[in-house]
Parts: sequence; structure tokens; C-alpha cells
Amino acid sequence: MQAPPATFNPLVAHITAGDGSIFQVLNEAGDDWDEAQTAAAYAAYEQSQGVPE
Amino acid sequence: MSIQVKDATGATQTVNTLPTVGQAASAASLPVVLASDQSAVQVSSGQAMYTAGDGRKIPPTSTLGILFSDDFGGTALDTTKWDVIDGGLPANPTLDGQTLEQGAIGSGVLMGNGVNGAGNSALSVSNSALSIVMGTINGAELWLLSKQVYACTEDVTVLIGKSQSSAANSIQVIMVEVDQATGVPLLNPNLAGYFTNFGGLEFGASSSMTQAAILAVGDSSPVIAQPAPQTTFAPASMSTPFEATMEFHAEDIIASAAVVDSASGKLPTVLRVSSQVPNDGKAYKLLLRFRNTAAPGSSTTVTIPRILVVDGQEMRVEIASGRGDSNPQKGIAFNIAGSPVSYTLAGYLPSSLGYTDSTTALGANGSVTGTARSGAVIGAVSFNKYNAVSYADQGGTLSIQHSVDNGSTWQTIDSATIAAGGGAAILSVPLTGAVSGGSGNAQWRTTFANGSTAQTVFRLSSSFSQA
Repeated sequence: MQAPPATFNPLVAHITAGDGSIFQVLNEAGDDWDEAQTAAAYAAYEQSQGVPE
Repeated sequence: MSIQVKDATGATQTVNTLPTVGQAASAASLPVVLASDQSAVQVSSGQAMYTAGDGRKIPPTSTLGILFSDDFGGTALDTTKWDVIDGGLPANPTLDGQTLEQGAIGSGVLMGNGVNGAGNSALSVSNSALSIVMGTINGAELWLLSKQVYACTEDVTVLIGKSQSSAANSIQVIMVEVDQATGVPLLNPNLAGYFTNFGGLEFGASSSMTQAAILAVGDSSPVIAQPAPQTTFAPASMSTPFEATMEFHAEDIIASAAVVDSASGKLPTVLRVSSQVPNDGKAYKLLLRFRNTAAPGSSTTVTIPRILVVDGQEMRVEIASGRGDSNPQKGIAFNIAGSPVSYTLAGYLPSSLGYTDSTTALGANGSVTGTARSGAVIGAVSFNKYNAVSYADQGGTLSIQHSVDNGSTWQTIDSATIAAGGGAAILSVPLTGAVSGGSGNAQWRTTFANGSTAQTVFRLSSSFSQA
């Protein structure tokens, strides 16, 4: 399981993988997520785990 | 064609006969007055008409027309429109040949040379404006009283300015009740120097060049209703004339201001009086009352480039007494321009209160948690529900979570499932909890937990709404 990023904000949108790994990339303002960047990080992790998206 | 009536015995009487030469001849015929012991029949409004090219008789103004207007053209006051009364109305006054026995309303102290006409030395007309020189005499006053009589549901617009401010100057533009038989303003038996019914604006009585006050008396009240003056009523110093509009309703008088010849919106500093309002069932005249309530240190010149009275009864369109009414049951759709905007319209969803939470397809057993939406977002806006909608091509669970401790802990308060094979889920919960900020701030968020099959399509959205 991957640890949450150091900048993780639980009040901002995030994705949790089936194993409990948390993915969140904040936008420049830090007040919401960058969904595209978060999705990319999540997809890369899923692929690395051999899990089809 | 003939017109016949039955007399008191029931016998038929022919009162007029027209040759049968068509409708045109009938239309050109004289009216017939039917005399009876019932109510009177009005056969003419007395209004002058002009003949259009096709022969129709057209009134000179529309039904939404101006009742009274003076742009102060020429070089002298138009005394067909105004009565000039120097010193104010004396006891037992005679006005336009009509006398009314009552006490004095005015002080009797002259502001001009005592001429009750265009030759009064305190007034002049030039450059399309009326000017009044108020002088420095304590108690001096000058009236300009319209000859026209009105009901009291009008809009009065005046362009007005003054050369300086003095608390000793009273500058009133008001509607005053008049005796219907004589047209003479009626003395309030309970309030010396004032009228039985009146209302309007006071542009003096202040050391400010932007202040105005609204005042009114209804039905011989012994006190004048006068809410706190608006210190920034005029858009700028009254050394430049500005535009003030008074809307007389049966319920209240509302006054607002604008910059002359500007397309900008009216100023937000509005005056309103409702504790007393001139009785709408009376007859009124427009009065410009200039008065020194003490001895001013120097003379003030008041400039009025234009004044007009518009029939407010026909011009004003209100929907279900809509002023100040935010009842959603009476909500109507309309275009909103400019700011600030108050979101109180039923069925309208501002863009800032609807959210796309996620469109990222989730892997097997993955989940997404939407951004928390603070109660501060909805602050003063009258929304009362939080909604969530999801669509996925695989089965899963949509939930709404609620926090009452500013997001420290969350509880799932509603959920719905999407069956295997995909579909949509919709949730809606009432807004509850403290929303005023601080640690008690209520928050809402949306979550979706995917089932054991990875998605290829996923949509998660939420909103605040009224219903």
C-alpha cells in the first residue's frame, strides 16, 4: 500500500485504491484537487500493481 | 338605427334615430346622455384629442403618459403650471379664485418681493432651470404649487441641486393634500405649519451636500414620520444637480437617486417611509417648499432643471405584491445582469453551487471521496438541500457524508447502490447543522465506492439547491 502524499488534505477530493492507497494531487492554489494529475498517478499505481484499470 | 329606452311607466321611448348609412355615420354621431336617478354617466373626459390620418381620435398622451412636466424653458416661470406663494399659505387663502377658511400654513415671512407670480424676486428661470435664492432671513419661505391635481399613486422625479449646505435651509419636494373643491392645501389641525396628508423628500436641513430625508404625514397625524436621513443619498455633491425619484404607493414611499444623463444603475442608498403615508384616497398637488428655519449665514441658491409627475398606477407592474417578497412559491425566471446578485430564485442553480466531483474511472474496489463543501459556501443563500448524482458502468455505492465539526469526522447519512451492470444513483439530503463558521461548521461531501469490477465510465456530481 502506498502512503498518502505529504500534502494530503482529507477535505479535498481523493481516490482510494482497493488496497487502501490514497492518491491526491492538489491544484496550484491548494484548495482543490487536480483531477487529471490525480487520475494519472492512480492509473500508474494500478498498472504497477498489475491491476487492470 | 334608433336608440330606445323604457321610461318610469315601462313605455318605450325613442331618444335618437340615425339614418341607416353605415357604421361611419354612427361613429360620427353625437353621444346620447341617459338621464336617470342612478349614478351619473360621464360622457366626456374633457381631454383634447387630435385627429389621426385615418380619422381616429387619438389622445395626446398614452395611458402611461406624463401627468405633469416642467423643463423650465424660456426666461420666466410658466404660471399656467405653477402658483407662486411668497411667505407660504396665509390664513383663509384664496387660490385661483377659490377661498378656503382655515389657519395659515406658511410663516408669512417673504423670501422674495411678495409677488405671487413669475415676477417674484426670489425665483428666476434661465438655461432651462429654475433657480431659487433662499436669502438669509429667518422664517422666510416661498412655495411653488402645481395647478395640476393628482391622486397619490405617482412617481415624482426631480432634478435638483444647491449651491451650498445649510442646516437652516429646508428644501422640500412634496405632494400635499388639497381641498378637492378649491384646490387649496389643507392645514393639519394637529400639526402646525403642515398638511393633513403629505410626503416627499427634504434636500436641506443638513450641513451635508449629499444628504436627503424622506418624510410623510397621513390623515392629520400630529407628528411627521421621518426615518433616519440617508447621508449619501445624492451620487455626488448637490452642487451638481442630480436626479431623485419618489415612488408613491398606498403602502409606502420609496425614494432613489441617480446621476443625470447616466446609463448607470440607480444608487443603492434608497429611502423608504411606511409608518405614515399620505392617504391614497385624497387629492394632491406637487409643492416645492423653500424655507429658512433659522437665519442662514449666507444665501443658498437651489437649482431645479426639471420636474415631472408620472402616473405610477398605470406604469407600475408588480407580480403578486412582489416587493421584498422572497417566497419561493412566487419565484419567477428572469435574466440577471450585473452584480450583486441575490440567489433567491426557485429553480435557479448558480454555477458556484454545482460541482463535478469526479470523472475518473475507478479500479476494482477503488473509491473516490469528493471535496468537502463547507456550509460557509451557502452562507446567506437560501438553499436547503445537498444533492449527489452518480453514473457508472459497473455496480457500486453512492453516499453522502455529513460533518458537524468542520470536517474532522464524517458520517454517512444517506447512500444508494448501482447494481451490477451499471446505472445511476441519486441522493438528496436536507442541509442541517451550524453554517456560521468555526469548529461547528457543517460540511457535506460525496463518496462513491466501486464494486469488484473496474469501471470504464464514471460520473460523480453534486450541488446545493432549494428543492
